[in-house]
Amino acid sequence: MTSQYLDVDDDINAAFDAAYDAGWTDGLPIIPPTEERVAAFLDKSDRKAHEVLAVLPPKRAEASIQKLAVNAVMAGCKPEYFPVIVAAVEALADPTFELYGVNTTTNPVAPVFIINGPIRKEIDLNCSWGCFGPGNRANATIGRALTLALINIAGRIPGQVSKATHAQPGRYAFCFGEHEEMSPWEPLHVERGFRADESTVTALATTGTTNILDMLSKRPEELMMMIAHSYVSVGNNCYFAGYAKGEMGLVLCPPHARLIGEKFKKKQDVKEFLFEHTAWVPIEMFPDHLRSAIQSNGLNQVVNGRVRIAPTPETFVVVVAGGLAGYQSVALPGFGSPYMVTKPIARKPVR
Amino acid sequence: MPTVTVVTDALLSLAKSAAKSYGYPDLPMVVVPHPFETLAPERIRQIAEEKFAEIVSAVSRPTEVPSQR
Repeated sequence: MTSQYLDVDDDINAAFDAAYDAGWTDGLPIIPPTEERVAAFLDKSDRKAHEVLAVLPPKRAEASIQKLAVNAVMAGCKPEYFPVIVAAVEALADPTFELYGVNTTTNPVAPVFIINGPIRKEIDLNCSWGCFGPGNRANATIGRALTLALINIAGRIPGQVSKATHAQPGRYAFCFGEHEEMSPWEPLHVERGFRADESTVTALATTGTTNILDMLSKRPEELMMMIAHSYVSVGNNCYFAGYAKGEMGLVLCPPHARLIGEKFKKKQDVKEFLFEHTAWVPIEMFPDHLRSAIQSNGLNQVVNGRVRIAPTPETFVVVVAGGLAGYQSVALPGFGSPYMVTKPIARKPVR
Repeated sequence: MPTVTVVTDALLSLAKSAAKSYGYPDLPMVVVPHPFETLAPERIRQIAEEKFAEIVSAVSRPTEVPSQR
């Protein structure tokens, strides 16, 4: 399979107009993926251009190394980011991630890519101040390359194929590194069975970010109570379609992680607290018709008149990231069908 | 096996796109109004009766067997 070609004037504006009209962009300007640029990009990789990693639903076009390189060039990636992109596509294509649902649903769900291991420093990935927002080339262009791949290879076209009612800003780019050095616990990839010195990317499906501010709690369990009670509104997926499956994330800022770690010595302790204490919403908060639906869904979601948001403690995915001051942590609510997928990043020396 | 897909109008473009991706560009479809899930049972029954002839016709019509993908 070969890529489509467009003949355009040697002008960056003309190239953007042509690519936009062809439906190949996220709405933002792109670096024109000329043959020369794509070849130069691929020259620094040891992967073969026509190697196919997977087909990406719903369009089910082939995610070949060449096509990923085209999208990476368009996004403005450096060649050294490519192994991350390749591993991230493998994660998205894993059936566990249920990419068809993620790409077609009315829900705003977006994949967030969490990077672990030594590659974070090698590519100067932001794990700290503003790591969810603009400013860092690795975070922004890796996230964007994957967005473009989801548009161009998977066919996630707003309205026509993707029925996301609003989508979300995280669909432009959502990629960050775990601030492993600031965590009192093992990093995510070690938890998932990888060695600390391996590099991995984890794709987690999330409906967006919910900020949790607590500057005043001095005791770990007080802060944990604030976090557990900040997690959801009754409109969250976990009360309707998303209870039985999937995960929800918690990104603790380093100061919060340090305080919690003083008493919660294992990540599992944090998860068990969240599992119990996020079950706080009384069933009366729901209108009548939803009360009976939740009570009779066969999932034992109601306990002592309060509604669980998670079926098990393992639903919670806990990582540490963000700036070193400020007391803001972030809940990443789940979608409820995909499970996260972690893939190793194959690292060979860049020529 | 003869099938017919019933799809709401708001989701028709996705259904057609997915059918094409899977090699069934002429998959028989019958379109009903959106939204569907909030309708009262009596209204659903009414739509079913309105669409009955069309559904029977769609599932009876011969279609091409798609090439393997």
